Amino acid sequence: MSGGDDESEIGNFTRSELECLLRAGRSCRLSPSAMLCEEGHPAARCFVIRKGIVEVVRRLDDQPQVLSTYGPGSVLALMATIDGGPCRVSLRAAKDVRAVEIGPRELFEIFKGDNRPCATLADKLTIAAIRRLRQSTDELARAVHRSVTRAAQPGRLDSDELVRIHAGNHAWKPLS
Amino acid sequence: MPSHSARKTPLALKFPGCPTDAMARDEMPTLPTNAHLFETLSDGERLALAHFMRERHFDAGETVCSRGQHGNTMLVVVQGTLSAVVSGKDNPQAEVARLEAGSVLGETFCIDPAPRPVTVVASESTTVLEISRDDLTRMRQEAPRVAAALVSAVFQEVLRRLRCLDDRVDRELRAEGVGGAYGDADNSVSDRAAATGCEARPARPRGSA
Repeated sequence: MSGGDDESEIGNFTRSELECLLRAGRSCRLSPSAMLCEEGHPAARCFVIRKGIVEVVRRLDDQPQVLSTYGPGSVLALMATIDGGPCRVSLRAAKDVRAVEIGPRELFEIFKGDNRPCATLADKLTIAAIRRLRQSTDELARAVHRSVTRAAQPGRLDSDELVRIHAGNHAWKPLS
Repeated sequence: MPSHSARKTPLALKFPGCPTDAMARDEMPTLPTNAHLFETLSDGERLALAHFMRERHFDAGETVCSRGQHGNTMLVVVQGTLSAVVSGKDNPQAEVARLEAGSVLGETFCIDPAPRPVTVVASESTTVLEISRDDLTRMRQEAPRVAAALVSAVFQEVLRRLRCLDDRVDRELRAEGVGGAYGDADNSVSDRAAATGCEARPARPRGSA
């Protein structure tokens, strides 16, 4: 592994998967307060954190607010890197951070790879995205349920199931 | 059957792991051409993928999957229509949405099995192609490029949905007017919007200012 690291594994990633990541991307170091990506702007690359802590920051009432932190093993800015859309939050190094940065083309090379580490890495990234989709669906179902409860609409079909149908698969054609 | 041989030879060369028994059949399963999920797959990859799938038939009214039931398969509607049915506290079971031919159901489940979120029944005589987690594992070994193409397609589809979903969650939470989306990191999707791979640590105790 480059950089003289002695990392057997990080988070959910094995050493061979990390080596696959490093072959596709490049190792980087970020000083405290360095920005990995900025809210509202596209991200040119995503980051796999190897060491250090990254803060998730969002502007609320024009004030930056730290919402949470992520440590080693986290994959950050993945969605914006893939779809080219704006980042929903800013990411800032809270301490010295070491990471692997990977651009969209390199990321797809990992997915195309037919060797085992690339395949398991692609599976893990996909499973992580799937689980976040399910978390977001749960979140939306709870929000809609609160809204329906407040509006006191007895007899309305189970909003939770409706949310899960339409959030999970846009191919469903709703019936009026 | 010249046309059969013409299809079989390049497939066998490009994807040596394709099941030969499937290729030997007179009627080889084919994915619907309008299936959005497979747009990024080449013709050869689509053909090879179809060979790892099983054809299943459901009669009208037959249950395809039930809410809460463990699911580990993806289904592609080849012919017919599937219906999502829900039952509210004060309502009998009602059809609320339909999936038509070419639609894909449960593509995430063949990669990450989980309880099905909704009950689905066949609203008419319906034929689907199905692939399970085990089939995908076998495809990883026997036709790794095809498996990689499928996983990549699902990955992109999931991220596309996630973008739409997170936007909607933000709108819903903003509409609640409690600062809920941002005032409590545990209750926020926004704080997770950038990350996959591990759980976020809230920046402060739940409920604090």
